[in-house]
Amino acid sequence: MKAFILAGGFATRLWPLTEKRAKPLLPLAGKPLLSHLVEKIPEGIPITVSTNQVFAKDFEKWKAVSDKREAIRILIEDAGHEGEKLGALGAVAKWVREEKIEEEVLLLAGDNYIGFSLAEFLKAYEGNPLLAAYDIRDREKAKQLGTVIAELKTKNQKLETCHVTAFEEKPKNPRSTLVSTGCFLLPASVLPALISFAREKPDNIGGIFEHFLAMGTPVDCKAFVEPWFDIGSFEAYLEATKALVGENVLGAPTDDGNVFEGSVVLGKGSKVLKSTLKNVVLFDNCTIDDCILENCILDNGCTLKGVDLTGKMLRENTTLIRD
Amino acid sequence: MTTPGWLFVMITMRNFALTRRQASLRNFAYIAYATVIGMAGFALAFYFLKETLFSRLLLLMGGALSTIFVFFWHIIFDRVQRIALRTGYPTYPLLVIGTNREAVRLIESLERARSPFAPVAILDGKGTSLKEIAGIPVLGKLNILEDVVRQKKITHLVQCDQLEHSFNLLSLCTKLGMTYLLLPSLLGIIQQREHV
Repeated sequence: MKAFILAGGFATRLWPLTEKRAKPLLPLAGKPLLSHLVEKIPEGIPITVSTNQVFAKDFEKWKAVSDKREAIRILIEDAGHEGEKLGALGAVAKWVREEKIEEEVLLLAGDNYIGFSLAEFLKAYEGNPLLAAYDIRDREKAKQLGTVIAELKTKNQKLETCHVTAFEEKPKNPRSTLVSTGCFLLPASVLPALISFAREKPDNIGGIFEHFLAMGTPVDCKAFVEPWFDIGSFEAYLEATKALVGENVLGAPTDDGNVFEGSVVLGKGSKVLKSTLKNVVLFDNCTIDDCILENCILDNGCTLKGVDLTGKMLRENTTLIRD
Repeated sequence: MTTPGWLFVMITMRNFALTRRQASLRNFAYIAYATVIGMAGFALAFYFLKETLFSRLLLLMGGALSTIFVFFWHIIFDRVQRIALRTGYPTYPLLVIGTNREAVRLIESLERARSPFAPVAILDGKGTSLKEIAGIPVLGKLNILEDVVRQKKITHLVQCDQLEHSFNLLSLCTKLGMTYLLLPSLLGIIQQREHV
């Protein structure tokens, strides 16, 4: 088995946090999102991380600095901007074709946080394409995701491993709130079908499961209850931080008349003085003096003095000073 | 001949704004008020110079006619100006941020009124499947903001969605010399038939 992590997107929805960094390298609760994912992959499975030219150096740096596993390879797509990218499925197909992959592929979306164990997920594999699902319990959110309609394999079974009867990518009227988590296991037998489907729809990773079902290939699903987040928006990023950090302060808080509430993340070199922070993420080298911040994300190098902000995301090096 | 005088009175009273919609009751009230002040000033100046006053009828007629003529002049100028400012590439190209219902209403309203602020492009931070709204193209997400501003020569930006970006957008507008506008509904301020 080989693992393939999709990290070739340009993360346009998370502007400006992703203006100069790839989404999988965004810090989440103190370490890059990609590190959370890689740590979940059982030892012994070689990992390929697929990215684009723009962020290639950042991924190499991430590999050198933060990764202890040797069997990681960074694969660079020949894409310099959004319009040139191969597409998620296109990137997988190219890799399978060029590397002549003839074994199971553990396919993972690099911008998703998964709280469940991948070892547990792999145990559910019975030779059919398998996907990990999560009940998001919100039909509005389900409209933006790939939804899974599943039925139990046997009576009296809990909704854990089941047959997928339908897969709908971003449905207007979702029939289910069980959503795909960007974690898939594909047997070698379906890889030729994947390559051929990718030629027509290179960016439709969810569509491959609809294609499998249309071909009569059974698709299985393993449902999890552990936290899962698609870090695709300001709200999702804050929500994921709150879930992972809890009512704590991550980083090195100083005792300079500060009040910290909820989840607070302080990046390297960030200083907070005489301020109240509630559910705030400070990236590196920020300076906050005499401020009240709530539900805010501040990119590297922001300087704030004497301002009160709620629900803001600030671009790198923003300076707001009220004398 | 009297136009510069009226303009002076209106400008000093801060009642003159050529980009405003002119055919409105409020604008008529501004002009009528400026006329009253203007006529009073004229009569007073005449008294100081000639030591005599106008007939009251002449003053009333002068005031009424001035109000009517200045008001209609504004309306005609407004029509001509709206056509002129939108002929060829708009003089004030407007970038709309957001594709929510308020953004759609704003764009439709600006287009219907042939406003001098002509929407030329839309960006949506969340991403949308919409390709256009009322004929105005949705070009993508905020990651291409600076490119769009330069390519479309944007002079005004109006934020209709995603309040978390207000500082980033304001900062960019300051940096590039654009005017930043914020739709009041984004702050929960709704103007029509509100009840508390």
